[in-house]
Amino acid sequence: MNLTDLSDEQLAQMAAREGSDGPAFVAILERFRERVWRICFRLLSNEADASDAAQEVFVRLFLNRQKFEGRSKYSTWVHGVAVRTCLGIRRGRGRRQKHERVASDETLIPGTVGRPETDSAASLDLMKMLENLDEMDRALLIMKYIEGHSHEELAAMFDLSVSACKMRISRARDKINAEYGTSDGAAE
Amino acid sequence: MPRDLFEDLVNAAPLAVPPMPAAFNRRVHQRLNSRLLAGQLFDLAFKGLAYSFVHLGLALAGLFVFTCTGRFDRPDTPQGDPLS
Repeated sequence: MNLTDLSDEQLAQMAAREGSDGPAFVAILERFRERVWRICFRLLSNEADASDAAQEVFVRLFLNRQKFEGRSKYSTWVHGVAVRTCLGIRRGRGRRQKHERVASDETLIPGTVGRPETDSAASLDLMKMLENLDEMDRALLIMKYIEGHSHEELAAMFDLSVSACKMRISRARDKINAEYGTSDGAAE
Repeated sequence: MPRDLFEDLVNAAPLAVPPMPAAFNRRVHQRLNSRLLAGQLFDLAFKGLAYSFVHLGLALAGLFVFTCTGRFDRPDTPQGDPLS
């Protein structure tokens, strides 16, 4: 059987039956590693931390591989594990370190090297704005507006109701707008 | 109508993600192996060895009682068993 033809849920079921990190778990690792890495990097804004977090996500996926109950899509469950891992890492490190990271963000995002000043500045502004939010609100906004997840997926990831999710996102946006104001297309 | 600054910035910001570190899979497997090893050592130390010590301790206690009293009490044998 070709593992690449299987759905995420079928692979998860196979991995749950494996006694070790066998072919199904390796296929899951291959399938999700880019997505998990992207989420970790966006939530942690730092390559070393993101690498550490992404590795930890796959270790947790393996250790909890029999706990997936199929109440949401497997991909949503994986993203939820990634988000919770990153939130745990950020909470553990405290705010002082986070501010230091944001201040040096331009050197931490290799992709922005050589890009126009405005893009880099916008990225930095966005990260600074997000730093002023509660950890969970920050993660919610990143997963909603940068990663493009629906409210239903976010609710499953963050273990919230859909209405609570919408409420938190709306409040977080209001907080940012109250703090930094609105623009009349000046950022275009 | 004024526009949402946050939305403008999300659209303008590149938010580039660097490529994954080399040997990521190998590091995951190494971390997983060390986590599993730690778990197994913990089980051995706090479950396996504890279980062994308890049973060995009971055996030693039984030996001591037998040496002192000449009686060999086996709690699992019924009273009046001719073999006890």
